[in-house]
Amino acid sequence: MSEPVSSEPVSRTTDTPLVVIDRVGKSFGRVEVLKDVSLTVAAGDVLSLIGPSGSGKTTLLRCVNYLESYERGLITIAGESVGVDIRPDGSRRRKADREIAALRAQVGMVFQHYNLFPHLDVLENLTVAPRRVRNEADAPVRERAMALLERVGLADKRNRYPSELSGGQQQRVAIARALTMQPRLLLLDEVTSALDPELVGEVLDVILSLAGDGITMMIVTHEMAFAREVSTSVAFMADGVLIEKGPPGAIFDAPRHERLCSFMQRYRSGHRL
Amino acid sequence: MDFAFIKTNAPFLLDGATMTVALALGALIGATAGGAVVAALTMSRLAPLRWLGLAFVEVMRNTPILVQIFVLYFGMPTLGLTLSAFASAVLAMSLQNSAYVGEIYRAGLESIHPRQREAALALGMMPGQALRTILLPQALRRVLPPLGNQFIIIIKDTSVASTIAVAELTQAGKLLLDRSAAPYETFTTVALMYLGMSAAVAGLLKVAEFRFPVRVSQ
Repeated sequence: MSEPVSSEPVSRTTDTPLVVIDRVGKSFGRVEVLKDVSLTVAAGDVLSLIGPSGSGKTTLLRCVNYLESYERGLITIAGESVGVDIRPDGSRRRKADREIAALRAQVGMVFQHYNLFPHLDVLENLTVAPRRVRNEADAPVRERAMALLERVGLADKRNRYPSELSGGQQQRVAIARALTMQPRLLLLDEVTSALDPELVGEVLDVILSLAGDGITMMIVTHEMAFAREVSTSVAFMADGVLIEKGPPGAIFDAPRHERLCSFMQRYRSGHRL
Repeated sequence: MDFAFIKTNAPFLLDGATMTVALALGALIGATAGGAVVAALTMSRLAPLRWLGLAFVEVMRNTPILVQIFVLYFGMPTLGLTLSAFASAVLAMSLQNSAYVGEIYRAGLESIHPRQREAALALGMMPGQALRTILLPQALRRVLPPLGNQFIIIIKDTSVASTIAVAELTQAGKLLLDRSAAPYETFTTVALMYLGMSAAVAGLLKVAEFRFPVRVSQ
């Protein structure tokens, strides 16, 4: 029996969002960097996190794959809690390394500084995790990796080392590396902030095309025009607080909160954010 | 220079050189493995293990190798443990060089940017997996030069074993001197033999450096 084929995106059986961030709080020493942040991201959504530097958006993103721990609230991905178990009596216990790793394997991350592995060539950068983490056979992984390199336009660089590539090329490899693990969620942390201005476009184009494919993404960015174009929703954070969330049109054209209004004003008058 | 003398006595010195190679190889293997243990201790998350590692490093590098050999060779029998001269020398050199090599490993690992570990963890690797597949291969490339340095020091330090009559190269030279009274020929030859061994190790490490170049990105 074959399922009926539809051009519509497959809807999930439950309407639970893929990512649920529920009243999450975190402190670095005495500084509260996340205060009671709640957010949801549905499968297929592209959520952009914007806000001034130090607003906590990168920290929040890093909590989603538990590169950063959080002390209050709970994040779940597809119903599974991230990093901690909450016992019936309400106490928290860090999950075992193995469980945390298993969750991270399903969540791709792309970093501001690319973080490619310099001792491995481009193709090995893509294949190392599927082979080591999932013990996948060599041939299918290589095939998948090559298809992804093709997609980011770098198939001809497969035997180069990261140091031989431009920043924009390295970042495209980093995106392909994350996708080779076939993640259900992709986290992008200021992925163009370290790039020369003329290299930003090639990276953003790749992300736009991924969004077009319905890949679920959470994006921390300072590129407002890009956020507006790529996102299904935009969340504005300041001082560790989620101030306003909505569709890009509402956030950019009709900001309600005063902090967001002044942020947008400074953006429009050309200040570096 | 009496070349005939050198030619006649070269086999005797070469026997000594063979023993030197055995000592050095033993100490080299011991230090390479022991260094890993020392680095694991000094980089441990558990404070008591860290202190243990640091104490070991300080004790080992702040006492002379000759004294350490004497402690093992002359001191241990008092505690009911008798070691041969060869074993005493190899063990003492392994222990002391574990401290140095452990610090070299630690420096290498700490020179790798934490972002590398993060990227590996974000891909779903376990911490140990990240260490083995991502961090160590990069760290080892970076420490090849200081490691080569240490290996050469080990080769030269084996001459200390002559003090407890291990029949290694320096000891062979001394014996030959007693028999022949040809100090110039004897010790020039001994020196050249040491130079040959050290140069061989240095050459191998250069090949390794070329074969496994340090690559950085960003």
